[in-house]
Amino acid sequence: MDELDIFDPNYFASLYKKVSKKLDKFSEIKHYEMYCSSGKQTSISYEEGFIKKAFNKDSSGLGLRIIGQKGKEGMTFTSDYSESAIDRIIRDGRIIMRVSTENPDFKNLAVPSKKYNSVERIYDPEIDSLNLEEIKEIINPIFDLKKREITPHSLSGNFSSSINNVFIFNSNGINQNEKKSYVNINAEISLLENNGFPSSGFSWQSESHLKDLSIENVAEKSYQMAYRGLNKVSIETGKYPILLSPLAVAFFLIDPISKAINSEAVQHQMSFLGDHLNQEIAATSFSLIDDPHIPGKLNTTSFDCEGVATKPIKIINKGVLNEYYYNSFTAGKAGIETNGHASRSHYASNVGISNHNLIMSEGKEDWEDILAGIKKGIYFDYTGDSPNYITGDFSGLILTGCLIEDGEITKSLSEALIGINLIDAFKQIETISKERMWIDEAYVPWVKLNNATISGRK
Amino acid sequence: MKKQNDFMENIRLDRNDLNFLRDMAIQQGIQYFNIRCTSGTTTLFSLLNGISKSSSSGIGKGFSVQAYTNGGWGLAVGKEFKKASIESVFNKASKLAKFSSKFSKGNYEINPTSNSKFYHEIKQKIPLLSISLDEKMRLLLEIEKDAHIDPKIVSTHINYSDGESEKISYNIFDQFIRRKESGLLLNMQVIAKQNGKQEGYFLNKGGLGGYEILLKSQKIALETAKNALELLNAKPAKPGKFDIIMDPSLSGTFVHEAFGHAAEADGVIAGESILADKMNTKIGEDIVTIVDDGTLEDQFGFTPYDDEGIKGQKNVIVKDGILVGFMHNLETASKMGVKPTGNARAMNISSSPLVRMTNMYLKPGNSTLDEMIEEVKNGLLCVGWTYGYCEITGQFMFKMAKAYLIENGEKTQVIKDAAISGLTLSVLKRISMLSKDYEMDPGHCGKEGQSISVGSGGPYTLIKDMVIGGQ
Repeated sequence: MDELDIFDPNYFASLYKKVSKKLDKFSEIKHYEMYCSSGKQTSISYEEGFIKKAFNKDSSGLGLRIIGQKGKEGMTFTSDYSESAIDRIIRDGRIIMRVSTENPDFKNLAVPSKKYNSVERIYDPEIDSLNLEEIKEIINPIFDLKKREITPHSLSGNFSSSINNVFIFNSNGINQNEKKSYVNINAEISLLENNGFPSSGFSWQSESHLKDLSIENVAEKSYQMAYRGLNKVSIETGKYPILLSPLAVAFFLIDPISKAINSEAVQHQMSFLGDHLNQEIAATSFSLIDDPHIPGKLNTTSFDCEGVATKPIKIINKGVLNEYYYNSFTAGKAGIETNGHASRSHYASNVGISNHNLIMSEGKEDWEDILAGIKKGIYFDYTGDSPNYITGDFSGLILTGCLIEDGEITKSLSEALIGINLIDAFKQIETISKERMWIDEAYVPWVKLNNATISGRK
Repeated sequence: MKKQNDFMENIRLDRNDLNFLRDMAIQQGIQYFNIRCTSGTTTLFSLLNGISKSSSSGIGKGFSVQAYTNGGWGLAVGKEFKKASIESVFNKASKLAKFSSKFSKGNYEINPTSNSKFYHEIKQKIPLLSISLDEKMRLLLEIEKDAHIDPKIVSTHINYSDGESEKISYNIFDQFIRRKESGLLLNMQVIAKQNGKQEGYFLNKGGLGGYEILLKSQKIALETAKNALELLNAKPAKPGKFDIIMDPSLSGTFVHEAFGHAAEADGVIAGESILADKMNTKIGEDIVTIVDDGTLEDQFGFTPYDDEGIKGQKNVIVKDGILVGFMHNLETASKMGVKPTGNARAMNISSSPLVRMTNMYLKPGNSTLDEMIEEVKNGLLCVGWTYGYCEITGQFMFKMAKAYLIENGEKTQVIKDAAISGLTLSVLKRISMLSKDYEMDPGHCGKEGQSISVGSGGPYTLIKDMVIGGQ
């Protein structure tokens, strides 16, 4: 095992041959799938403005799904590729499969797609070959924050680079592999007010290519967020027009949609968007596309985690909800073809459903012109909260946000909460900016909501 | 039939197999190291409407070496419990630590731990291994049926997981600890629907031990279903300020999220805690006493020995409103010149032990819930938690699962889930009543990407003037 090249496709192809030969001997097994992932990661964490810790890990493992009569399914996993370990997971998988209930909704595992789009810039050899000294050079601009006008009271964060290779095979002939690279930097900073009260700021960036990463930008954004947060104020409870920053659009509007259109949640009546297919759920200016083929973006991929070819889909078109995300199981249950949204976070994880890259529609106005038109309102920059996905009700803290007074962003907010049903929020969209920016895998603009309820301490 | 984890690999390494690392450390100028090895198995069942969504089992094993020298730390991970592999990973960790030390803030010594050898095993009244997978599935299907008490119940989702593991740790001070752990977690979500309106409720049960935990948790379906049905009549919370009574689970979330993280010494040292300059000062009302107790055997955060080999203990953090202690790992205790408190915990061997809570609770008071409700003119009795967090400024948010309006001392209308926010140091001074009743809940806590099991709890707690995120 120590000599094994965990990124070698030939090794996993021959491993699959060996596994399938063993599985084919059991007549009760009707379908099977082997999902392998191999990765390496290097990270450096810093604290108090200095490097504190370095970390290195190589890992590899496989998850095996076996399916018998009437949809009975068992899944096992291991990080050991020895003969005895393979025999063990097959044995355990058969036991688990027998214990599972029948599942009449199971139709078939994924079948090979007719065409796989090739995707560009998902692997950066520069990330693959990064060493610790080079990483230190890359993150130096973070430490320059110590020289700023207001010296940070705390400065911490993490840089990590990783390579991940997945190999997917199944008994229907799926045979796909893809190698991807990732790099991530995050920074958290605090500044002190004159009275000793802290204000915190944070920022991060994740990319597939090293040259797309801007450490200076991450450092500046985290400093500016902390600086803006000095001398926070409370506000009165009431209804206010809201200007959402791209960060808030990504987390408050787009991320909940991507989770609520999970067909499994829809099929089990666990999604607030479940009864809304082909209905108008948002302002007509709001469109959303899922595009897995944009070169160099975080969720760019030519196939999903079952090996099915991905394709761009229009989720929301001019305010109308057009499509849900499917994997092979939920698509089989719905009697349609999967649209390639099967996901897995790890070889030991069960198959789920998730998004690729999300592109929101653009508007016609500069965001600063939208801001200038608000006499009194709220600039909502970030929330760490999620909605109730069953009802769509959102009640959460505006973790970073400011008052808007006479068209300008002024004081930072303390203890301000927003409460609104998300379908109401989608319909309250009044203006969308023409500028957009990438927040992780989402390309999003500034958005003005006509109004929403804000709770405050005043 | 075969039991689910009869192939779990025991870790055969003993102290004598690892003490060569002490010589390597001296040769390489490593001031401190620990090696942590684990071997374990897990079983998961997920049922949607009583039909298997996924069923899985797996085994995992591996080890990591953490090394320290001159202010820098390194962590490297390996798989095979063989001398050559351990040597190789030690060398990697040593190199990583030396790299970090070149750019670190400065040197500090890690204070020695005892050089004893310990063994500890979590007690299982009914061993997980003694129950077949068929029996576990049969009971889960029975539990699921209990949720269907009304035609308005339209959907159920059960997740069950259990696991056993063996862990050993060894460090530069020749301390060797072997632990056997086991536990079980069960959660359930039920959806109710009426006239186009849908509501859901979620409950979580579990603990450390054996199959007896599942047997004790069988009423989860009925309880979850009743709550989901009740929410069909719920109204959204009104926005603004309210006096609130938090139930024990929310009191636990409050002390954990709003206070506990600020009392973790790594954040204090990093300048990321509002409690940094508050030691021995009054930060809350006299009735506020907050404890982190790793010795509570029946709770989810039970920590007989932490991941650096320190014995778990009861640590009083706030006594009668005065801050009297922080939680520590070896590093923070060494830096601050105090004894470690048994709070070094890691999610797995690939993660460094951080300062983490174990079982944190707010000590109960003398009131009854009825007396507390009578005190409230316009407020909310908040029930059940969903999640929460606190930023380093002390501004926190946590979400209740539901509430009841209190009008002139009487509990009235049921209210939907909503967010509660406040500033920790201000809120601790607005706690006015605590009940005699007290409960603990199992949960998971996230920090720096690591999720660990914790217990949290407290009494019913009356707090004046909290901001609620209503519609």
